[in-house]
Amino acid sequence: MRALVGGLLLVAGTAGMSAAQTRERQRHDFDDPEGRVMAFYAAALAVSAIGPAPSEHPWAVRAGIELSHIPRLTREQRTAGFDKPESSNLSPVLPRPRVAISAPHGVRIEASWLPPIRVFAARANLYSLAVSRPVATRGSLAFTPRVTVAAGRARGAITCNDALQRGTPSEQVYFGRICHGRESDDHFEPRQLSAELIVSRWGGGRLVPFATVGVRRDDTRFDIGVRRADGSRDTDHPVLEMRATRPFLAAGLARRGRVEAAAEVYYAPGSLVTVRVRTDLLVRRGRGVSRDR
Amino acid sequence: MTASSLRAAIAARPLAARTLIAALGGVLAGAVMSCAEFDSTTDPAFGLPDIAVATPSFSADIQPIFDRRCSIGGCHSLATAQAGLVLTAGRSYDALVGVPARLRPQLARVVPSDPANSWLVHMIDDDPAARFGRQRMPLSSMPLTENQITTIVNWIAQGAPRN
Repeated sequence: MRALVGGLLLVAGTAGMSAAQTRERQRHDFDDPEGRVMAFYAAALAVSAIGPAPSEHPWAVRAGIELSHIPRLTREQRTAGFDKPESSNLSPVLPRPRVAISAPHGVRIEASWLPPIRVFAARANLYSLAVSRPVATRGSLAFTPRVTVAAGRARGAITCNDALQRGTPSEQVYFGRICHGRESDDHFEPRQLSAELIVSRWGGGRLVPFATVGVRRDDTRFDIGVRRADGSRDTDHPVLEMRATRPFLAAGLARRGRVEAAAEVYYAPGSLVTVRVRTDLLVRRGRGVSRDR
Repeated sequence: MTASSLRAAIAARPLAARTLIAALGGVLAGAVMSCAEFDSTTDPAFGLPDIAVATPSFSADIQPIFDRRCSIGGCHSLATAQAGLVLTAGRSYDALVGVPARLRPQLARVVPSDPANSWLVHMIDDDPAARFGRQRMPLSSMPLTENQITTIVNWIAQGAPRN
């Protein structure tokens, strides 16, 4: 486990350094048109618990996958500050493999990594690390705080997409002149720290309803990746930045068992409502005393 | 794996199959329920005061329009200089006044006291015939507001002073 955590931290560190640039940086607020779109995708890519951790022996290991739906944006919503819509509807779904390890004293460590494989028209390299632990029960309810750090990069042709060639005459000229007739290689880089409190039913029963309230600190960058005719990055375009602290809510149902499944409705006010599902398999039972949550 | 062996595998693991079906159902439900919760709120004046200035100052009233709408990355910035035109502060005046337009050399970009014959006005105005088929500027973006265009026309009409 130590090696796994160390490896994740190493990956997080090197990826964070890669964005060092001397480009113009434009700071946007959450309420700006650009900020709204960036906040939307930050929320869409955010990691959430999708249910409370099951009670398991220390060193039990679960592996599974999460699927998160990314709603399509309308042309108007994708028109952020420019009249030209951004081609941001690259993928309708975010698949995220997850591994969870139960540590002693009820602590649970969870890591996720979406490797840089192509999902529809996007290629993402996203990772996260979360720690949670049940801290209290009251009546039939259990309270589990959880802290998550997440980072990475999603790439795609957002600013300059081949679709512009089939757009208005103005968009066609834009593709030829501003985009140099090439698709862009834009980088969307979310960096997030979130804290949430999961309230779930405690005790018997395989079905566990839960609700989550949390807050997320976003430090998001959008690196406009227009490419010149020779393929090099056109540094005349700025890097957009958006920092915001935003609340989120979720509610759903988990089904306990060796194969566990859970689904939640995730709500980020001012950004999106979406549904996330998770399923995972107990691959190692662990040993020792478990906390009965 | 054949279809029959897949069915057999699912039959042998009904819980896994049900979980998988539930997960897929969740994704489909998500596609129906999910939505973005914000509106596009583009400001047509792009954060500038939307007023027609009767006696414009180049530095106070004209250059801010260029800064916000024209000299952005990929357009009339120093690095890109589309159509050979740089509209950044400190360079824009000398690039405009009395300089032939690269796209229409028989016209100057700005002819002092003659907005009707200034290529800059043709390119930002609504009349496509005056642009000889060229796309209206700013390219693929919202046009300047009527008040902003009037401010530029007023500045040229008053002799395009460097003030």
